Amino acid sequence: MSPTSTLSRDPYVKAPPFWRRSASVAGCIFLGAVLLVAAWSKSLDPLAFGEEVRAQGLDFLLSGEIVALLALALEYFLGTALLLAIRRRWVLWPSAALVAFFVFLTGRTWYLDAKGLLPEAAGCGCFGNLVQRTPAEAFWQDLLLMVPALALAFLTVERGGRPLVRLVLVGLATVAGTAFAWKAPELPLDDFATRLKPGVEIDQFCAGSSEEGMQVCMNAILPETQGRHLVVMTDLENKEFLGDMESLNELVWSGAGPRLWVLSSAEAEERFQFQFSHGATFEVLETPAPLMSPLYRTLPRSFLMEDGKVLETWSGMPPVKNFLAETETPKTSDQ
Amino acid sequence: MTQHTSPRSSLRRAFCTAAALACVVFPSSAIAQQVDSIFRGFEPTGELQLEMNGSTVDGAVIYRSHRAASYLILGDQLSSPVLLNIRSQRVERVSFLKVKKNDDGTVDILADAAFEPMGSFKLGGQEVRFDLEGQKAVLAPKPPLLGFQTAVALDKHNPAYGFKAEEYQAKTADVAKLNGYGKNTRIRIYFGSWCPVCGRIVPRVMKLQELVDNDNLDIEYYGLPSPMSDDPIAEEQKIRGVPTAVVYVDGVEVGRLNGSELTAPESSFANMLADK
Repeated sequence: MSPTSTLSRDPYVKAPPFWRRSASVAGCIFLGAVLLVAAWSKSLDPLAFGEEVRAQGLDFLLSGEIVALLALALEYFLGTALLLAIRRRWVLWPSAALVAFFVFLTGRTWYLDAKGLLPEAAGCGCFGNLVQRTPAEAFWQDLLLMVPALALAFLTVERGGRPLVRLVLVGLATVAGTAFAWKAPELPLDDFATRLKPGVEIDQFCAGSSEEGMQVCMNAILPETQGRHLVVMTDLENKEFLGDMESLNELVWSGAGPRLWVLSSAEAEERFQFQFSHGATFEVLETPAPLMSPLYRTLPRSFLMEDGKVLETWSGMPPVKNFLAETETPKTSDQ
Repeated sequence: MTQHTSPRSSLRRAFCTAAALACVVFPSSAIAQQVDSIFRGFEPTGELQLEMNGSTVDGAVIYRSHRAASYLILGDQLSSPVLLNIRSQRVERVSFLKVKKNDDGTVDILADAAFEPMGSFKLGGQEVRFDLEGQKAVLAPKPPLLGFQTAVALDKHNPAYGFKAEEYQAKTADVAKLNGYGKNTRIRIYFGSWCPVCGRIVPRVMKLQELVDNDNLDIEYYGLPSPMSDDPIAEEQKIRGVPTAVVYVDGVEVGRLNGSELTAPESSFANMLADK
């Protein structure tokens, strides 16, 4: 993929033909857009990206979160530079390295999956490995989306003078994108960053595919969907959740208000321990991690639904006291 | 396996059984029975089994009430019902006379029931240990139900399956379509008795099986271990998750349904067989 011609201000060097420059600019812009979209989607939930960095074993020098932020900064830098058609060697070669690295990662995951070496998703084991796109699909999608565009971008390489205005824009976009990713966990972006938002039907929340041997949707997890239901997604050891246990119990005892369900992807032993330790008056429903994780950035997260449609969402625990205030019947008994 | 008990406990058990029979003989409406506001609505749960001195107590039926955060154990081999109150972490004895079985399979404790303390329980791994009638008792998850099974065997293994099957309202139009299907059809349901989602979906298939009146349509169940790959048939059939239904028409596989596709099994099977 070495450059076949260069653009220079030297009048004695013949400029490459128009089609080649156009194809190069188009490839550059396309690849830049792909990188920026990827960076943006990861910036919405940098903690999940940090987890992925850890899962890939890329946190050997710095923590997963720091590596994630540095990777995002690099992606913003190269993505913006390519989008602005800066076809310099110091942009194209790092971009090629980044693309090669992405393809390597997806290829390695495909290999590990084929050898049965990937760990199973947390949960009861009912569903095997639920995947939205198979490792093979991920590999081929990355390869076909990025490599041809990268090859086109290399058709012509710019030389001479510094594109100062464009560099300033690249710098600003990189700083802004990285700062956004840094602060994103504190911003109220859950409805925007996840698939769980008001108005969505819960039977649209699915993981896996029938073609791969298993698809499970939220309507199979919840025993019923008609009527009003309050759903809390949580880790069973989450302090915020455990702190609200008595309010949740009171809501159940009140007999009024929405029906309460708690979703968790905890392993069987953890659920068993919880069941016999905390005196919960509600059912904890085992939910596979691949089904639940696209619905939150941090746990706990909660939502109210009616007849299978999400009415309201909360980052954290729901305002149980408000629901209790709505109910007319006081707590019936003290155990 | 049988439990060895003293003559005194046998006598007590005989008395309690007679008392329990009296409860059944006299219609519940004839006796003023005010149900406890918390300790009611116990549903059968087949997730756990009772072991005493290392042996499974076959006749013991375990009920659970989420509302009460409690388990209630009933059984011929017990001198009286036993309540595990998770909130107080205590084991308590309740009189047979104060336990009311309802027509829908649920159990209530009456409001005037006295709870006789029997000590506390201890939690270790996936076991709950306590002393019961002078013996070491353990509540532990049931071992998985493996291989070919009938609906009756499923219900016996886990009474919650039958209870949930009764609750399920199948769409009569789709059941009628299946009743009218003429080809020789066999549906094999791969399930895990340890899998919570199977616990919700398999009872629906059991209800469908009960409703369908068609000699050409046969439904069978096959229990898998966890992990599923330990079962050679599951490996050979490439079963990647449970529940999975494999549909055969005239001995030839015509399709598979899994997970969420089985939440309304009568509709899914009717749709699949419509053009077969």
